[in-house]
Order: sequence, then structure tokens, then C-alpha cells
Amino acid sequence: MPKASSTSTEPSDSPELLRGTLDMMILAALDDRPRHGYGITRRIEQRSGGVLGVEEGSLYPALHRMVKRGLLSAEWGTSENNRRAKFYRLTPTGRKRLKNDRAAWVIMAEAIGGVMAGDAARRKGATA
Amino acid sequence: MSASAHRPEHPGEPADRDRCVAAEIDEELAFHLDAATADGRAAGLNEAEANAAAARAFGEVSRHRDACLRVAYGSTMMRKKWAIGLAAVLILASGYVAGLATPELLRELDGGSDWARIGAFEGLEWRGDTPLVLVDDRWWVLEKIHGRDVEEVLAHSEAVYEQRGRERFSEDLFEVLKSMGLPGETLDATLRDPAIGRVETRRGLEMNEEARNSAKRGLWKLREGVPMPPTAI
Repeated sequence: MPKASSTSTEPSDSPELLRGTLDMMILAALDDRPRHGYGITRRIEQRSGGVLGVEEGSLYPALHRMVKRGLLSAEWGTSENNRRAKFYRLTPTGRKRLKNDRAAWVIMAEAIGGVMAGDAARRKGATA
Repeated sequence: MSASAHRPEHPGEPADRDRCVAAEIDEELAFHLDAATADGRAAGLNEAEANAAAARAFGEVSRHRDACLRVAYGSTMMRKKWAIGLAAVLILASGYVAGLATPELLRELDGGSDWARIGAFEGLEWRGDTPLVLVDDRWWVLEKIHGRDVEEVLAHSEAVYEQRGRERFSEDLFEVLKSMGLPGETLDATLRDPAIGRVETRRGLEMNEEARNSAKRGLWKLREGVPMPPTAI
């Protein structure tokens, strides 16, 4: 469903971070099955509990770029509403990239978490 | 607001291919907006509210549409102007270099490197117009790709990339296949054993960077147990 208000992640804030993050989220959204673009946005919204969102239209240049780079393949099919829609699926290269991205993300999240926790939180954790 | 109201008009798109690419992008974006509008209605919004919410969430359609077109053509409009400008300078600067300003050069300048650099064969050698490919440490005559005769694929590559058609076939098969509307992520290849004539079809050969590098740089020669390709077929 369309979001009632704009999200806090504006493309102009940090385009490089956004691009990398968006690509990673697209790969993850297609992990279980092929989806059309609208399905991908809903999946990202659903999996993030509505916290993460991007301007929905920005998904499409990213999808087309990822097809061109061999991470996704695209095929026209029929949607759940019986309309022609373009479905995207992971290629073997895309699946490999997702696996690498997931591993890198865990390391990154732990590292940033460590920095953000601060000394007090770490001392609390050590005495607990 | 209906879906067609979301579709911007771009009267300046001349070629059939451009129209086809643009029409597919329009159809894809319209589907998204229609689906979002339908979800809005299902959530209790009236038609106008649902349309407005869908449009707000989507952002500026023409901007995203143009971005898709730029991806399709592998460049920004600025880079295209640069390429054309540079080619014009080359032509004007020297009669000699004018010969270099071919459509192929323009394509190179025009962001051709956006395509995935992946290949399916760890080695590729030519015997006349016939490609020999290395699969599972054995050399095979490549007869068909996705059921298409190799001659047809090569002819397409030479039609698009002119004098570099064979090189593109060898090094950028993904791009060649995609430009033919064929799958490029994996490959179905019909192979013939040059010694005994046995024909096999390998389905779903993965295309990856390692294979392309091996073929392009001849890295297969460094591996133990890999035979040299036959000199005649």
C-alpha cells in the first residue's frame, strides 16, 4: 500500500550508500522467488516492518542496472491480478552476490554496533 | 488519476527500438502505479486519494523513466554528448583518425562497459570461423548457443560490432546474447567432440567472471592437465 508520508531516507542524502543498500535489499527481496517491481517494494517494506523505504520509482533504474550487470534476469509474465508484469529473479551471479553481501553486512553491522554502543554500554555488557 | 495519466509523453524518440524500450518501461511503471492505487483503494482510500498516495510514494515518473532509459542505453545524456563531441573532434582533427570514429567506437565511448563482464567458457580459440571452447577441461567445437547456430550469433555480433564482432563474441558473449534477446546468465551449449564427432548439449552452464578472465587472458594454459586445443577440426 502506498506510504502515507515520505520516508527519512532521501536519495540525495547519501547516494552511494543508498545505491549499495538498495541493491542489497533488492537481492534479498528476490531470495525466495521472482517478483515484479511493486512486489519487491512491498517485500522490503514488509520485511523492515515499514521502517525502511525508498522512493518507489528509484527501484526501477536499479533493477534495470542489475539486469544489465547479470545479477538479475527479467521476464514478462502475468501478475496475481492477471495483468502483464515484468518479473525479476536472481541469477547465479546475483545469488552469489547476495551471499557475499549478507556476510559483509553482518561484519559491518557488528562493527558499527560496537562503535555506537559506546564505552558505558560495553562496560555494562562486560559486568552483566 | 488513471495509469495512463502517469505516463509522460516523449515525442522525440525516433527509432523503433527506442520506442519499444520506452514502451516497456512505461508499461512497467504504469503497472506499479496501478497496483499501488488498487492497494490504496483496498485500504479504504477513494480514487483520488489512492492515486495521489501512489504518485507521492512513487516520485517523479519522468525522472525515473529517464533514468531507466539511460540504463538501457548505457549512458547519461551528458556522456552521449561527450562521445559524439569527441568523435566529431577526432574526425575534424585528422583524416587518419576519422576512420576510427565508427559506430563501434561511439558505442565504446557511450558506456558499453556497463554490461556484465562474464563468460561461460574457460578457453576459446578460433579455427577459421569456428570457435573451439574449453568445457570440463576438454576442447569442443561450439555448434549452438541456446539452440541458435553459432554462425547466426557470430553474424549478429559482427553486424552490431562490425570489425570487433568476433572479439566481442569471444570476450563479451553476455552482451552479445542480451542484444539478441537471449538469456545471458546461463548458457545452453551444443558441443561437438572434434575427435570422434559426438555431440552433447550442456544446459545451464554458468557464466561468471572467472571463466571470462581465463579465456580472455589464456589462464587455462597455466593449469595442469588441460590439453592444448586441436590445431585442425
